[in-house]
Amino acid sequence: MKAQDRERVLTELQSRVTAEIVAGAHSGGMSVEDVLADSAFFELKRLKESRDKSKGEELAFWLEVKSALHNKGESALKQLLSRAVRRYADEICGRFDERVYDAVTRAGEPVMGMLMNAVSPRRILQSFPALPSLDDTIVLQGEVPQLKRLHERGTVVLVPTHVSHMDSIAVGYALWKLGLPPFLYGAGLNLFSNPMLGFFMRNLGAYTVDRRKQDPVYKRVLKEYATLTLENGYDNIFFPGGTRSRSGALEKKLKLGLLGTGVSAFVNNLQNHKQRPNIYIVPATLSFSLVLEAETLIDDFLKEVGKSRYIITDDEFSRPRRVYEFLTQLLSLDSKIHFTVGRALDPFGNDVDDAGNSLDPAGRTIDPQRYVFHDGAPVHDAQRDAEMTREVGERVTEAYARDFVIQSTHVTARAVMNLLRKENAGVDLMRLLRAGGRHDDVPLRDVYAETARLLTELRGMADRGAARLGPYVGGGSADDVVTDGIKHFSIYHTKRAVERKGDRVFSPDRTLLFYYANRLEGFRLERGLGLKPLLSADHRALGRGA
Amino acid sequence: MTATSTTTKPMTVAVLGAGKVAQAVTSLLLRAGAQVQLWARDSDKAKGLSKHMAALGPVRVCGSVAEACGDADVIAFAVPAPAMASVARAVGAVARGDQIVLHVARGVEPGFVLGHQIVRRETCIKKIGVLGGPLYLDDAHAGRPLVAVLGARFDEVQRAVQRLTQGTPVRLHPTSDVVGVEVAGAISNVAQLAAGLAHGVGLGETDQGILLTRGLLEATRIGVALGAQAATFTGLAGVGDMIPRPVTSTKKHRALGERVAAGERVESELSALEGPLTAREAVLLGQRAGLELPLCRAVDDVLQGKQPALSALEAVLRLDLDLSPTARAAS
Repeated sequence: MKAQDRERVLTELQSRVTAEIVAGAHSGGMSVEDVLADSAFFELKRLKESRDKSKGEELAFWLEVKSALHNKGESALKQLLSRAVRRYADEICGRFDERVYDAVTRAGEPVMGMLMNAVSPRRILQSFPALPSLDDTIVLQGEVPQLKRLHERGTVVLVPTHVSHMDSIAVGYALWKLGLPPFLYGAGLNLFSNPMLGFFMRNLGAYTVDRRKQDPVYKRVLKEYATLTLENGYDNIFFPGGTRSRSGALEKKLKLGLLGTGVSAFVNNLQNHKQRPNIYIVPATLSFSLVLEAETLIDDFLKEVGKSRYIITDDEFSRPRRVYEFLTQLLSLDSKIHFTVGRALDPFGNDVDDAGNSLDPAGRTIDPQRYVFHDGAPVHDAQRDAEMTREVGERVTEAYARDFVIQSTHVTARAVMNLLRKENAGVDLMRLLRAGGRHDDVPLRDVYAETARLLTELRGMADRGAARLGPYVGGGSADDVVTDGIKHFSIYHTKRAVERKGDRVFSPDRTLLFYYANRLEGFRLERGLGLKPLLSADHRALGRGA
Repeated sequence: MTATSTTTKPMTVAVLGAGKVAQAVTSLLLRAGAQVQLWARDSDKAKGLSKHMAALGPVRVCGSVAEACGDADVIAFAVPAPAMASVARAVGAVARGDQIVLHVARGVEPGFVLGHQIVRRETCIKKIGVLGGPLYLDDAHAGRPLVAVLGARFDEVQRAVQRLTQGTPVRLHPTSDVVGVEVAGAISNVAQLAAGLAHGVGLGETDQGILLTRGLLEATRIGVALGAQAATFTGLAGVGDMIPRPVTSTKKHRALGERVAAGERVESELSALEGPLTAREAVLLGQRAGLELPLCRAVDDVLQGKQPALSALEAVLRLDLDLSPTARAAS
């Protein structure tokens, strides 16, 4: 956020959230005292478990709140609440160095290059001077012209799929290539721990999200911060899946809280008679042949329910050499990263034309403001907005399935997974993944045949505009796809998801196979094969009876 | 500013249609003090209805759908299901996002397209309510409360209808399960057709009861497959609709079943009533989604002349009644 806006936005944020809570207390909601008691409870609990050496100041504040609870009057409590809100606001927004922002945005130095420098310590860069050019690697496609126009017409909320921490870097780079200024986005606190990367992220639009904070007030501040930045014309990136997909599957169920800030900001804009009130939701997909953190993510997914870690701090992304190996090896295969921009939606889930007008299903221009009108004026209505946002979420997940570029690795893994499951009918999926089944390999010709079957289905979908196909998957033979898939699986990962030995195909790492096969979950590719879905309908758990 | 603020300005409601439902709706609206703008394909019928209602208040008869709906707060569809699409298309030309649509359609379009889906496809309106359940108009004439279920995803719709029915004998039960209310209403016609057929071929009341129960079960299966809640079908929109007395539309379907069983020629009724098409579309949906729907299939077969009524119904009656809402065809 620009320095000239920072103080104004933070002050507004502080007064808005405080006033909202006080107003809630007056209309029968939780009292300010109860709200603060909850905050102190959650924060003191978190601080007690935290090993952060600099927690003393925070601890002192929350102890002060706790002791004030039973013996201070209402106005003193309101003061404390306001201070607590401000603390959260400051932390989220972070410090900002305008010189860096200017240098990066005006000088036009590739953001990606700088970030890569940040990711890879100089030492590594010097020993491998030939850092691959990312210019040819990221393929930008889809509704790019519309995105550029909407950025001029209103405020954009870009909502990409999320599989890897590489996503935010790739999106940042893609936006820079498109000549767009950096978008704001919330990044987990752990990503800021790398001093170099944290420095750049902070200055290129990232704000801090601390997922360890359970305090509802913190979550309100976070949401209101996003709303206020939208109202102030800052384009945002939300990863609406909430976190990197653990299973490897496309997001089916989105976190609607942050997505819903689009309607709130729109209503506020109308009430404040803003010049450019419109908010546009733009779905986007990122597709890699391989995923940097695949092993860690799928391992986390398969841990017993409840034991999975929501916050992973020690994955591949925190190890510069892994990142470097991932990129160099991936690029050595001439592998492309596809960034596909989807058709924009308004905050009510309607299509938007290139000029930024909302359209009804028949393609007629309509006035989106009307959805929030009551008795002739724009009003907030939490239930209405939640319902509208639910619809936006559905439209976004549809766009994901339609726009995501399917790679050879996904098809190859799906084919081998299907064959292994058929060979091991009756074997529990967990057992198959962890211990292997009765049959651990399948004939290569069967893999070709199953791949050919999948390709026929996928190409039919692509013809109807229901899927996007990557290199080979779009036009190559089944042999080409399998060869390309196996080639990719032979690099980077410690153990291979798929490996060929003569005329047999094995899966040395079946959980990794499962991870890549999951990318094609939900496309209904196994109808009539007698195979149950691998995952639950929301893609967040194993399928029942799979 | 939030949406809880209310004004005393009377609401303007466009009523589309001039049949029995339109008449009941208009009379209720006038009693609640709303301004009614009436359109019907048959303008004489619209004028007649307006004259008939003169004692309750003025009804503005409009020459076009656009004129009736342009400035309306609420648009009430009181047209038969087959006319929904064309009327909705005309509404779409003037629709606004703050308008509310109410409908009572108990049928589907080819492709098993439900009423709210037709409105969504043809207009920009998202705030849609469907009235279902007993909705027995004769109750209102007898001075008893008119009981109905109002399915709407937006609380705004529930609030608006509450406002519109204040001071009237309407007793509304709200639910957010729009699909459930619509499917329950549509399949109840098929079940009543089956009951009529059963009566016509001399089967007794127990058998008719079993067929109606199976109808409810198949409605639940279809509904759950389309995202409805199973509980809706055991509530007022399902059981509560089946037990009391057949409502206007289902009564017609029962009569149709009896006439088919008697071997009468009924071509015009087959296309005028919603039930026959609903049965056909349910069978096709069942094939697509892998749902077992023997009653819908039997009714469809009999209407298409593929099977005699007695043997088709006997076959259904012999099946186990597995009450699990998600039971699927063995594939």
